[in-house]
Amino acid sequence: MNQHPLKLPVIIDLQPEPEEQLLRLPSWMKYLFLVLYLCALVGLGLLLKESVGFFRLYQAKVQATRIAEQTTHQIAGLNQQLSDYRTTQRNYEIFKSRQRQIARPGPLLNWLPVLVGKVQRAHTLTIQQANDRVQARLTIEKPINDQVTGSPKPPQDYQLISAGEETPKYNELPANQKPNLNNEFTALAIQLKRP
Amino acid sequence: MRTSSFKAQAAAITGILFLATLTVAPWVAGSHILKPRAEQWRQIIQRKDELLIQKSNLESEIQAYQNMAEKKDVNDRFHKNIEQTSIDALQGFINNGKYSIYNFKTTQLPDTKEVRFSFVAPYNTLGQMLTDLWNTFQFLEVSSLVMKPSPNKPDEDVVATLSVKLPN
Repeated sequence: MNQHPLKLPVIIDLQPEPEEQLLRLPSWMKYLFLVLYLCALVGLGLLLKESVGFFRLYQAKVQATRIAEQTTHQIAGLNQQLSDYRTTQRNYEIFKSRQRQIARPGPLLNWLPVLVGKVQRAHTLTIQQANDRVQARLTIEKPINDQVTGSPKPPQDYQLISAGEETPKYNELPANQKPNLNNEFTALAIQLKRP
Repeated sequence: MRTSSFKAQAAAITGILFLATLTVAPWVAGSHILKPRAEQWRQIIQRKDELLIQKSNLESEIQAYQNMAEKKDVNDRFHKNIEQTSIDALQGFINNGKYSIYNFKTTQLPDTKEVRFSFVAPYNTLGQMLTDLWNTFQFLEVSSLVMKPSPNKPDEDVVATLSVKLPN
């Protein structure tokens, strides 16, 4: 028997066995990748949240800048107005105080007639004012037996310091006129003070 | 063989470091860039709040002042009144024919702001004139007033000497 030698089919491997070793990472590295991936996800989430807050803060900052500019202008105007008001108020108080302090003998002129009796006759009337002091002097022709008001009641807003009779000065007497026999001249000197 | 394995592991470690950098980068950016900026912006917002409080306080203080327009008007009138109080104005006021006075004389005391007016007038006229004078010249200070019966008409007329200080 002619035996034919059997030939095995030839298998041609088109992808030859690599000559070099395949890349094989250590097994623990896959857990590391997993952890890093999770961290990256959480981080991105948190970053997104912070970004929203940051954007809102930015909007608030823009608004605050605008409001601050307007308010600064308004404050400057209000300060000016306040300064004007203070000046006006101070001047007003100074004027009113000065107006009140100015001595005017009006109340005294209304008051002096009560010092003169019915049978008396007033001649010279002098009112002198200096600061808060007032000197009033009244020359009267009166009957010898008559009395001038001793301690008169002072006018409103005045305090009586002293009051008394004095001898009249020459220039206080009526010129070329003498009192009759039953009369005499006397001067009533009064010192007053404004409180 | 050993060299290629070493290269592969080095590449893997580089990749890991790259990924780690990517993970950490947002946190680094947040802490080094965003937070300082946010702090700056918060200060701006805080400054705005302070300004608003300051404005509110100023408005309250301004509202405490009342009738300022009227007071300003009165101040102007007071100032004008002081400026108009002069010897000429006083002479013109007393001796303008409105009041029946005669023997009018003006004496200005040297080196002072004091002026003396003397005149003869009926009692009632004198009282009216003095009242009008004080109402018109509100800052005129009367130093002294001397009244004596007129020698010619002692029961009707009075010789008055009025010393006044002009306002500064």
